[in-house]
Amino acid sequence: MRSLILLSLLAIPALADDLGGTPGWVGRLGGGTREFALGNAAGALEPTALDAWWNPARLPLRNGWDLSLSAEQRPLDRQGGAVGVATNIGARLGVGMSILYRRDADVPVYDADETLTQTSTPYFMQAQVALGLRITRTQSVGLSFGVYSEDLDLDGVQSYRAPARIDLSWYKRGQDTAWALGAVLRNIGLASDLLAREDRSGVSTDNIATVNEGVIPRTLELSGRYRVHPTQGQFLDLLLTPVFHLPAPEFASFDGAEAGLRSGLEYAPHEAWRLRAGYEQGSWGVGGSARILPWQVDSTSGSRTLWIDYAAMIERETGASLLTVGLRGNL
Amino acid sequence: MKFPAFLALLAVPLWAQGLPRNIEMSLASDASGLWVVNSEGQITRVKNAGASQSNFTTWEPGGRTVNSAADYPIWRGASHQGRMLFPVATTDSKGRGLLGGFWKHDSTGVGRILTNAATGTLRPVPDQWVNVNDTLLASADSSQILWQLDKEDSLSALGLANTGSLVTLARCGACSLADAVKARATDSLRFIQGISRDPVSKSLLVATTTGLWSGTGPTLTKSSHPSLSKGNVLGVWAGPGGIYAQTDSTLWHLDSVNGTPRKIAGDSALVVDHRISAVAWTADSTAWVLLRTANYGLSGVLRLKHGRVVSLSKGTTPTLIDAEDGLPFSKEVNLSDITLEPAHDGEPSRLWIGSRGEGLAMTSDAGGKWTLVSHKAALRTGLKEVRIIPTRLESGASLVGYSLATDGNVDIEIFNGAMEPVRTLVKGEFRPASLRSEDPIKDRWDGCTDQGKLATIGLYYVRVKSGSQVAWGKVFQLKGGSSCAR
Repeated sequence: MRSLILLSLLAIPALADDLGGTPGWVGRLGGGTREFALGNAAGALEPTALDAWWNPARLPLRNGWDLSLSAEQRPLDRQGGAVGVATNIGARLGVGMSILYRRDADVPVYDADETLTQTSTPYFMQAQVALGLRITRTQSVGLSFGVYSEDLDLDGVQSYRAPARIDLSWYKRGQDTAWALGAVLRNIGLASDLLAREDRSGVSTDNIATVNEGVIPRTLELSGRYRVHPTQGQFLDLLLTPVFHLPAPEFASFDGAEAGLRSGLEYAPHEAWRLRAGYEQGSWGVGGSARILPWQVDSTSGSRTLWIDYAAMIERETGASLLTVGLRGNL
Repeated sequence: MKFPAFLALLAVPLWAQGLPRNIEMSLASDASGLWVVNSEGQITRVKNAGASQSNFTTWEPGGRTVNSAADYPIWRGASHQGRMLFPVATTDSKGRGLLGGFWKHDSTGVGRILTNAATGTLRPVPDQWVNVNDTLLASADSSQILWQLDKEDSLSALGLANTGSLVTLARCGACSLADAVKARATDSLRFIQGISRDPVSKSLLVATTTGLWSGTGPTLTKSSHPSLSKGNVLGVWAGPGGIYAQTDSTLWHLDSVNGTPRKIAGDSALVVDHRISAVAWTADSTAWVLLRTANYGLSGVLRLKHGRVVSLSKGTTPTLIDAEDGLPFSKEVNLSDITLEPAHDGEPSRLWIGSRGEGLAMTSDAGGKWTLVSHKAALRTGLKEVRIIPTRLESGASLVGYSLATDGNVDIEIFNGAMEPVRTLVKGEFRPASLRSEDPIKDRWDGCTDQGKLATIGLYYVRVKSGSQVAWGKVFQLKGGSSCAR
């Protein structure tokens, strides 16, 4: 186990090249308070309300409605949030949707004379609807359909909308839930070559149209979860997610690929408490959750649960972020 | 490197509040300082406020300190779409600054500025050109409009280059400029490309597509020299060192109006590849010639003396002077105008070069040391704020402005929204303590990544680190395309 923990704390430095513009980084930041605290190593977690983003194949593996709401405040006046809802339809199907949202508050915009011309609050939003199909008792596949939009909130610059994209996913868990594996292939385009090409345009203050184009990198996330010493209401989950970004302009090519590693620990000292830590490319996350429904700590009865989540993040470049909170529940 | 490299380090950036720097500048100087006007019609004056060469301030002619370029709009219509406004700055024979503008797209003239340097009076001229007599006071200016000023300090245009006509609006009364152009067009002088006035002979020189014309009276005669009597003469510049006339393939030098044209000696290929856009003359008859390529891709300065290209210092090859020779601008800068501020009030004469978006370069020792003066606000003491100017990166490069409480080495890096590094601009380079530290050449982001690609349109983060201090700014990369020539 020690070696697994050590491995989980290692990260392969990313060889950032073509990052795919804003759609690329909005996706990389992910969403969800719990997931932030786990270093975004969330592809093989047990089903959550944000499955439409993290792994649609988990959508059928639930009973009832799961809801999630989170908000974050990062350094440099960056704010964000995520909303997710998921439910099963019968024994084999599950559906869900999620929205990831980011914005930069009050960006001062100076012209070349250093005159403040406006204060901009650009926002970026990624939404997806997803469907999951259970193919065996322990194995399922999923598909999500995502769209992206942004508004730079600049006078004369048009808002931008990236092409719709598809994510494919797979999930398998052990018979005794002691382990689980997940895989998500993101950003498959609807064009004949299956690449998601973005082109974005704007009109400058000189009334000159600007355009640039690129391929939104496909991303392959391979996730594993291993549960150590599960007992009644107590466990320690080790999470590991190698991530491969494939910015190459051909679908089957790995040119320019970059790799990273997400790792996390989730510890349940009690059935109503969780503690977490995670690491992803130089950024750390820690956090925890408390169950507030059912109210009695020792109670496991009742069909409704509600958790309050908290996460603190330390970004390598910008420092600590202490204001990420969320609510998760099952109805 | 044609010029001692260490001299480039002497290019000290200064900050001067209120100096317009965003759009193409036009410069003129007189016995009280420098005039600067941009194509948005904003005017400021720049003068040295102290005994040293390091304390330039800007002020309006009335004496009030200008706090921002937008503080004193002279004419504001230039921001309209489809504009074609030529900024003008020049001085008359009495040392009075003149400024004006011209709407080309609909031939509607707009004259605005007339000031008396002695009294600081600033008076707008009505939109019509009125009360003009035959007294020629002003010389040709950088936008190639020959201005005329009458006793009543009314302003008129005698020559209108680029419009295809030479007109005299004498006693035109209330007629509009458009009417006058239409009525007084002279077919033989159509397509005027440049005009100048010879200070020695007082002749008016007119460069046209049909040759070079000159004369002192109402009648102009064409040059008798074959090279200047038939072909396309792109421009003419007269000064104490003679007359320079540019044709499609050659730059000619004439000792006098009636002299024999001679090709300039030296690297004449420079002239073939470039168009002369402005000339400033120094007292030793040296012509400082501002050149730029037809597509404004490259520009620089050439020194000419009596028809010969001369170098900045002995032993070096005479060639185009640019950023490598100590000009405190980026390589991609577009130079817009050049003028010589005469010695006055115990201060030396200064040569000024205006740029598009990068401020003014000044030298008072014939190019030995250049000083950059540009519009900058003092930032908070210490590394607390980073301003990206302009914040909308639409062309060229944006400047990273910050302040340092103490001398130190600086790192400047660009990050994307996922806080992944995109570009390292500066790594461990020294910057002096200043309310406004920056290197005007290196502390700029052109939108390119370290891999030489243009970053995708979007929001990016700029980090400036000095020791344990860190400050951030944000910039919108809006440049289109994918190639990144660096």
